[in-house]
Formats: sequence, structure tokens, C-alpha cells
Amino acid sequence: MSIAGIEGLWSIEPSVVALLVSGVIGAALISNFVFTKYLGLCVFFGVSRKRETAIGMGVTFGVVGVLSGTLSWLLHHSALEPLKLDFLQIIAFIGIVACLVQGTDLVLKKIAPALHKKFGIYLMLITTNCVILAIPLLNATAGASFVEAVSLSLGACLGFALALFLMSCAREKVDMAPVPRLFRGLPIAFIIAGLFALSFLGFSGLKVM
Amino acid sequence: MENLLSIALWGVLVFTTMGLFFGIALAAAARRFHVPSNPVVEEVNENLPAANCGACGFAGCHAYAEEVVENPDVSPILCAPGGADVAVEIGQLTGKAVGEMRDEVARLRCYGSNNWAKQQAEYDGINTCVAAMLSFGGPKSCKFGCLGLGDCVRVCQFDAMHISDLGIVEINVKKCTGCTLCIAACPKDVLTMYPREHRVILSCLTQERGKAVKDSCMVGCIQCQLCIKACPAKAIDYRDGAIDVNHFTCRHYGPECKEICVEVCPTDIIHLPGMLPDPDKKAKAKAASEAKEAASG
Repeated sequence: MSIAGIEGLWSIEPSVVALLVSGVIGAALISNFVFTKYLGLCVFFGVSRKRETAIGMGVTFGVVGVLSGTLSWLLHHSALEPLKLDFLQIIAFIGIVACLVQGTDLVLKKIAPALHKKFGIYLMLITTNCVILAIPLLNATAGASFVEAVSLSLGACLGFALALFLMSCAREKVDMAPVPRLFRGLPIAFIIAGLFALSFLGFSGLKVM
Repeated sequence: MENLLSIALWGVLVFTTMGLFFGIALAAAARRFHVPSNPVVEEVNENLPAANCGACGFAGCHAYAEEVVENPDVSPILCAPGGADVAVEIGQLTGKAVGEMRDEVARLRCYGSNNWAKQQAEYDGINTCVAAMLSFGGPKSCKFGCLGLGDCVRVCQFDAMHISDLGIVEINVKKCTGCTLCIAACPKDVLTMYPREHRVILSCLTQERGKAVKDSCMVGCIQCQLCIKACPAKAIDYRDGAIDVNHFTCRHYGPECKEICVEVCPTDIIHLPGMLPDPDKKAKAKAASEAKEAASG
């Protein structure tokens, strides 16, 4: 950030906290991965029927997203970039995500079997989820610093969890509404998602730093 | 060349290290968070057809296997594609009584092929029944008829359905497992479950009366009620504004009725399996009787 002073321009480096907060707000609200980038829609529509599963998936997604974003950044900066192995980044990132999802599956099966059963196939779908893969790829292509990478991962996962929660609240209400038969289920869900996307457009006026 | 060799060597080294690290970590996690599974569930799961069609009401075969073993209220006869053999097997494994199986097949309740049903418009949109129905109920004049765009064909996992040359759905009863996926997929509700052993088929679902039916389809039920009056088993009646056959009563009565409903139906809407409709049946019968009278007189 630059400020005009008496003796020319002053340059102020933003603090780590400011970087983290602005990154999180930017990824969660201003450019929400679901509503502005249309990523991760299969899990978004699959698990947003009930609030309980939406919250559970939001938390699981957050853990996997932040861990994979951080680990991928570490791998990219410590091995892939210095050794000129950038062209293998997608394979490396998918490997990291797949192992983390498998680990989450094992842990969840032990500590929350009911939630694990409710997720069904959608837990494994996180492996190929475009939001989860987009986080390390965006970090790698933008040359983000460690703090920026963590903030983007956190923001993207918070934004996805927020989208899931809002959608599950809306769908629980719509399930009881007299929706015409042809619009029931996914068609009305897509219409609701479109309306949410329009409302999230309002956040584009929000300027962070 | 040296550069390439270095990239290849480092690539192998990095990915091997990564694989070893995650492999060991996952193996340790699997050991630490091991959940013992019920061997009966696995045995039941192996006996299921692995169609994952959802006909049992659970999310896939494994979910049904878990529920049928662990929940005493879940019946062993819910797997329609598996049929009686699988039900008996599950019953033996879980120690539950099998009881009577519901052996049903899907049937189309419409004869309104492209040459019999009138078109109200030419449809040039997305090629699914649901999309066509959003456009003023679809291209056919009859709002109770089969649109023939194959939503049911797409969901059928057993290759039991296809769109015939007539432009409506044709069902291969031998391949149909009674999973009811097609019933849920049809936006016109024109598919119905029949007991596998049925004597007659009712091929119209219209709730309209006489002239309105004739205006839209040549082989529609004109609700003349001749079949209701003629049926000695009292197996035919109205339900939800349309004529309906109670197949259980019909079969129970036996063949003594000589399928009188098929005889009296002027538009062949009630017919024997495999029969094609004849909308001019009445006129032909009249002409035949006149010719017979002329020949005798």
C-alpha cells in the first residue's frame, strides 16, 4: 500500500493478519467459488438437501481444503518449482488431495459413523472436486506467498461451507413449498442457486485493501 | 539431455518419496482407526446384484445390506432386480422370514403412437420428456399420453425399454426387474406397475371424456363403460378419473370370463398382451355383419 507523504511516497507493507483477513473475505464472499466461479457443483447440489449433512460436509471440506492447499504450496515451493517439475503439479496435487480424503474417510468412519454414512459417495467425490483442486492450482499459478495460500484455502472452504449452508436452509424450506412437479428437486435447486449467485454479486462492490 | 535426465530422476525421486510418505501415513491411520465390520453384511452384499439402482429405497446395494442385517424392520424382499433367489438367500443369512414376493413389471398405459395420436405442435427443443412437457404439455394433443422422448429408457439399467418405431415406449417384460426407476422418471405418470402374471392390459390413462378423447387420439378410452358393465369379476372401475383394472381380482376370477372386456372395448384400449390396436374395430365389425347378412339373405 502506498501513501503520499511530505518527502515522497511512503510504502506500508500489510500485516500478516490483514493479508489473511483480506484473502479470506475475498475468496469467501467477493469471488465465492460456487456462486461466481461455478466450481464444485456436484457436491454442492448433492449434499445440500439437509442442513445437518451440509454443515458436516462444510467442516470436512474445510479440513481437507486447508490441509491440501497448505501441503500443496509446501510441495510446490520446496520440490516442484526448484526441480523444474511444475508440469507435474496437477498429478502431485491430486495425489495429495486423494490421500487426505482417504485419511478423512478413515477418521470419519471411526469417530462419526452416522455422518460418514450420510455423506455416502460424496465424501469420495471431494477427491475430484474442482474447488479443492482449484485452490493449489490458483496458488501455484499466481505465485502466492504462504500466508496468501493459506488465506485463499481458508476463504475458499469457508465460502463453500457458507454456500452449502445457505442452500440447505433454502432447500429445506422449498421441500415443503407447493413447487410445480416438473421443477421439484434439482431444477428448483438450480434456480435457487442462480438467485444466490445474483445476491452474491452485491459483494463485488466490497473492496478489500 | 542432462537437463532432461535430471528432471526425470528428480521426478521419480519426488513422487516415490511422496508415495512412500502418504502410503505409510495412510497405513498407520487405517490401523489406528480400524472399524471392525459385520461379516454377514459383506456376505449379503456379495449376494446382491450390485445394480445400485435404489429400488430397495436405500442408497445402493451396500447400504441395503447394512440395513437388512442390522435393522430388524427392514424386509429381505426389497431387492427387485435380485428377485426371489436373492430374497431367499438374504432371508437365510439374516434369519428373517421371506414371505410373499412382489413380482411386478412396468407397463405402458398408452397406445398413442405417432400415427394414432394427433400432434398439437412440432417440438424442437431439448430431447427429454420433462423439457417437452414444460412446453405446453408436449407436442401431442393428449395430455395423458406417452411423449416418446425416452426419459424412462435413459434411467432403465436393465435394457428393458426402448422407443419403438411407433414413437412410444416398448417394454421388454422379460428383462424388466420391477425396480420402478422408470415410474419415477416419467413426467406423465403413464407407466404403471403390473403383476408379472396379468391377463389383460389397459392402455389408456385419459381422464377426458368422449369427444375430447376422439379429438386428440384415435385409440383413446372414450369412457363408454362397456367393460365395467361386462366384467363378471367386477375388476374394472374408475380410479382418479380414469378407468382402471384390478389385476389381482381379474387373475383370481380365472379364464371363465373369456376376456369379455377385450371383446366389448370399441377401441381396443383393453387388450391382450402383444396385441396392436384397431381403432376401426367397430366399423369393421358392422361391415362384416352386414356382409354376412347380405350373403345369407
